[in-house]
Amino acid sequence: MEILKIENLCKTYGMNDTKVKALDNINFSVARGEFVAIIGASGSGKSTLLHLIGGVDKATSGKVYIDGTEILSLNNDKMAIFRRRQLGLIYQFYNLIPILNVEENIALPCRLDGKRVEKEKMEEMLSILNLTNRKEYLPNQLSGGQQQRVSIGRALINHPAIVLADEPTGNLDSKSSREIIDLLKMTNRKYNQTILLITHDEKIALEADRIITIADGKMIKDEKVR
Amino acid sequence: MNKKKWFICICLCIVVNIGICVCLGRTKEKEINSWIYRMTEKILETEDKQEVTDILKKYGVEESEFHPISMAIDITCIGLLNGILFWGISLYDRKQRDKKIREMEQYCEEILAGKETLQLIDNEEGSFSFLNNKVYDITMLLRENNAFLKKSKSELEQFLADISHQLKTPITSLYMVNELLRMDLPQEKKELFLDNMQKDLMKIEWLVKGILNLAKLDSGTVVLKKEEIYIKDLLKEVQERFDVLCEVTGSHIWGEGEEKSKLWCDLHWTKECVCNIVKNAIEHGATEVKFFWEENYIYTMLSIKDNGEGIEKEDLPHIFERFYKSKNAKEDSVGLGLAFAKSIVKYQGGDIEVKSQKEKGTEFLIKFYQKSL
Repeated sequence: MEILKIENLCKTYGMNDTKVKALDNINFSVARGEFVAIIGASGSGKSTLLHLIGGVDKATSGKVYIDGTEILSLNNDKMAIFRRRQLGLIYQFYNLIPILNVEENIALPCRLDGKRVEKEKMEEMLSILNLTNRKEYLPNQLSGGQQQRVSIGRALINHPAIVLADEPTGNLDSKSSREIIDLLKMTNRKYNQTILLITHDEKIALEADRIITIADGKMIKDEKVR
Repeated sequence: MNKKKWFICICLCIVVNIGICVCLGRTKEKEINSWIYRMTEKILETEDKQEVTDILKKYGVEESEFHPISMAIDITCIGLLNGILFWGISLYDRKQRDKKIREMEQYCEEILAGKETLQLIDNEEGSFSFLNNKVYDITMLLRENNAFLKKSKSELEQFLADISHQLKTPITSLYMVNELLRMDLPQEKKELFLDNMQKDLMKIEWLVKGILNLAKLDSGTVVLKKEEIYIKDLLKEVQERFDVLCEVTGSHIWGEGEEKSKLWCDLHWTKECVCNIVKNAIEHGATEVKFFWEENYIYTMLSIKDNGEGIEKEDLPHIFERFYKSKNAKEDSVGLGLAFAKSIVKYQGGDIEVKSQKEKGTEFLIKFYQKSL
């Protein structure tokens, strides 16, 4: 079952002389439960691709299907709701809400839907993230690795169709990076969570099951590593 | 109903109520006029009605307005109107809900009929949307389970075909040797054939044992006894198992890692798995088999590294496949050892990977997730 399908996706910035083709005819599919890494140098278009999949930006042409829904046809309100329920986003710079503590940050997507997170579910999530002792802490009281773990929790709490991670280890030291990648891999294996990981680091990309290489907005390679 | 519709309803209520108040105001005016009438009634009784009516008309008080309307009726009318309004709104809301329920019923019917239809997710606020999402999740789960069952069935068919093929060969060979032994042959020939029979019988026994184990895992009938075992204890048991073989081949099995590191697994089955890997290593020329383990809060990793002849690059993606034999496999190897090892690890929810370099050696990495996860 295809959980993500990209058809002839193109994104052009600027006009006339300043026209930049950020993405040029991207085509690929991701099945449920796959762990895919997208690798490319800076400026290759990988962040643009992630923004288009996440619905934060609109493509110039082409279609993006997430779990059957063609997201470019959704208006802003519906896209926001779709993003909240069906997507999990993890960024390089964590982007936690500074006035909410760990538990509240993780529960945020549920609270925005007007629902409470059950106590056992939150306990389970905190133990998976190894943050049980820090559930009352504020983001500024946590290390980089811990903050990123909170943002992983926030991305996973709604069991989204797909988790998009944009250079999640870019801001972390090697030990924390290792922890974050192990955590993502574990959720992929244990909960069959589909993950799309963007990175420029080949070592990190090799942890995935499949690597897609992008350069200058074009897909160069798509190979299975495991 | 969503926010827009609620907004329209509230505006409607406000407008209606303002209208009612205006009418009320006019009614108040009528009250005042009727008081004026009653006051002038006394005068009208004694004097000329027409004259007084004319004077009042000059001040804008019409005769038709000389009929008193009580406040009570006013209030009843207001109440009634508001009541009808709210009833109308709740009826409308009810109809909307019924429509959504019918849509969901339609969706469920289509799913039951086996249609591939999808779209239930409407990306709106409200409890119906949540229900839609949950029903959709259930549908997905059912679909995936079905696909998994189909896949399991076809894998089983393939496995049965492989088994019968594998068993056919030694059984045919036994028949042949049996026939040959009936003939008049010199003693050494007979000894040779009897040795062959022995080998074939052992092969069949090994095959049947291996296949039975795999079948047990495949069908999910194995009951695991998971416990936290010290890795150094596991290592010790493996070393004991291979004591004799190591003496014969001169191999050395040893380990390095935290004393207190634990594995959350079934000891008996995991030991079988590890022994299969070690046996393979020694059979392929390893003189050193090193166990190395590492623990973090997500998993415990066990690495079994050897300095044997390594695995060819083209064989590497296939070595865990059942009945797969590489070109330089031992003659009596059946190709089940590593397949079995992988099945055991996967059955316990773990992960197994292999790295190898020709002439340098092979490393197996086994990951078992921690108990708490």
